[in-house]
Amino acid sequence: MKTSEDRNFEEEWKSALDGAEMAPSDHVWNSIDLKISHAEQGEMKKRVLFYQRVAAASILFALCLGAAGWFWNYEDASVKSLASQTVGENQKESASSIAKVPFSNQNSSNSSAVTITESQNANSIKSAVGNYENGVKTRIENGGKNHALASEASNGSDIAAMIAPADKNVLTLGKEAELESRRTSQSNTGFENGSVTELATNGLSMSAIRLTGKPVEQIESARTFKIAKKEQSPTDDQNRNWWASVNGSGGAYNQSSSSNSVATSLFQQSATSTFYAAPNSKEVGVGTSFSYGMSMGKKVANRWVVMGGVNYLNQSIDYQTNIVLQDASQSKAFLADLASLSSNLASTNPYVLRNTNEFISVPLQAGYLLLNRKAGVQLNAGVAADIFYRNTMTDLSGQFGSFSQAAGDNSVYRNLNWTGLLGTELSYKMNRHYQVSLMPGFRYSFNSVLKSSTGSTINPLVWDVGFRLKYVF
Amino acid sequence: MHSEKELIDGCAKGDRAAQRAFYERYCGRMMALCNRYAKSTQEAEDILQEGFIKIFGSIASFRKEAKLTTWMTRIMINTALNMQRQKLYLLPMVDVNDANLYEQEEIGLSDFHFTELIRMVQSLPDGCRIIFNLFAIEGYGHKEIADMLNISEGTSKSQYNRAKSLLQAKLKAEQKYENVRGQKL
Repeated sequence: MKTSEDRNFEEEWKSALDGAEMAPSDHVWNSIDLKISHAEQGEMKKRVLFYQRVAAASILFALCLGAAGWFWNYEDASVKSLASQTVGENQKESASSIAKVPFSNQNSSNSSAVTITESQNANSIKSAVGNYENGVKTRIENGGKNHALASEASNGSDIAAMIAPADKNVLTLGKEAELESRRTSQSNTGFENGSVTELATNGLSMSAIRLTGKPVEQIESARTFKIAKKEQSPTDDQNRNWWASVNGSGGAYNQSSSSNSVATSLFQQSATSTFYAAPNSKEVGVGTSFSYGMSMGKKVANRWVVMGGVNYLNQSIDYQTNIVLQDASQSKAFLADLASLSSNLASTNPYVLRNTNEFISVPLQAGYLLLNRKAGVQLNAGVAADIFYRNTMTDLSGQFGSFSQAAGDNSVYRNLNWTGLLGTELSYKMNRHYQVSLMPGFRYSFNSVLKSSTGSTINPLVWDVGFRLKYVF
Repeated sequence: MHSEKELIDGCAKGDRAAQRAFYERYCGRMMALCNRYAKSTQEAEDILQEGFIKIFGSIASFRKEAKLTTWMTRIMINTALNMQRQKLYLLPMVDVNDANLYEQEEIGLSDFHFTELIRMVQSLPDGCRIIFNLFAIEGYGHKEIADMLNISEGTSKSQYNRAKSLLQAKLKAEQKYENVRGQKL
């Protein structure tokens, strides 16, 4: 319980200090300003790190998909070869009597069972199967003079014709075979009483080829060969046309800079003032990069694409500096890198400077299609000619004016720079003409964007994720 | 001249010019507050700096129906308490049982400039200073202060009484000094 004396004491103090104002030192705001800038850079770094990880993961994903695709093609080729070989030998060594027997299941109208009879030598089949290297399991059982090759063919045509070497079809097989037949005997060699050959292929393509001495009528169900026509993309022809696109990208920008002799000499020459040297890349951290433009391309081979275009490219990065350029009217944000441009420099309180370089980029790339379906995966690589357009330095606090300089003799930036490009294009075909793509990748400048006379080098490294809207003519 | 709303919106968007204007508008009042909680001007500026960074970081979440200065004051006080907490941990506050402390003569503050009063508050021991500010100036109850500082309510009361008597002693000493100086002149 407060006494009236207590209340008086508190109220008196409260009213005496209420509304009091005291001016802090000037450096407090500078410190706040710098800390906010660093916090913003930290946020930006987190964002950039996210994009970098997305880009890296996408490239890794594409490479894995590519490897899987290559492996798949290899499997298909192997099976096709095996099938041709098997049937070829069967044709030679059997009595060439092939009967087509319909299955009794619900797809009987489209299915067929083919019996190869009078085959005299099951060893030929065993030999052919033995060539199949990857996980093929061969089992010979139920030997006999009459062998049946039961199959389920999607188009119901003659099996021998369908799997002939010259045929364009590829052999794809069901995952399991169910063949019910009575076993008369079984031996290790499996040739005394006829044979059944079963192929199992890890579920990839071929599951079973079974030869049995029993009549086909006794086979209640069988799924052995599944021969399907090689899937041909309906858009293959369309993809061979020219296409045009608009594209944009954004991501992280790292300067990869080396020592800065200009700044160092400036620092040494300044006996009275302390200039911040232009920070090296460790101090600078990561900037941002974005680009937009348009491109054209053409599919020049089954899996190869060439493309080119023109883009506006903007790379910006923030520094802390205390150098300003003084001209007649005002002080302008300035960077020690460019000190050789002017002697009208002065030191000031530290501030954050945004250094922005603008380029016109002309890329030329080749792309390899890893997957070309409704969704596509493409690896792109190439070079870009980056034509320097302008450099701008801006004080983020707005305290000093901006300094801007275009390409030319007075600029410390080279007019033309060569950049390597590598990326992945994950695409989706929306319809016959339109396609959208996500393109994670990176670009690295082969040469320093600074002229050699500066004594410094900056080789920008950019990780970005791009977007492309493509129109196929 | 920007309105308060414009400044808040500008700060929320990260506009550095708006942040600068916002700071310039409120730094004086906040500096006086920080000075009451700090032992020195340098320490007060550290609190001020840290507090403004927090304010700019969370101003987007500021609900405009609340009073801005109240919200800012709470942030500054929390910042000050966080910075003082380590000291309080090292030098824990204890109950003060000195009956003589409470028998001080009441002296009016009207003769003193607020900077002198702030200097007197700054000269208080850490625990006393914080509890005096929270109780007498900000208007928190001893129960709330006890929860905030993780001390007992009794400790808060005794520390406050100690602060009160110390301040009265300082006021008296200053008054005597002024009287003596006045007589000499």
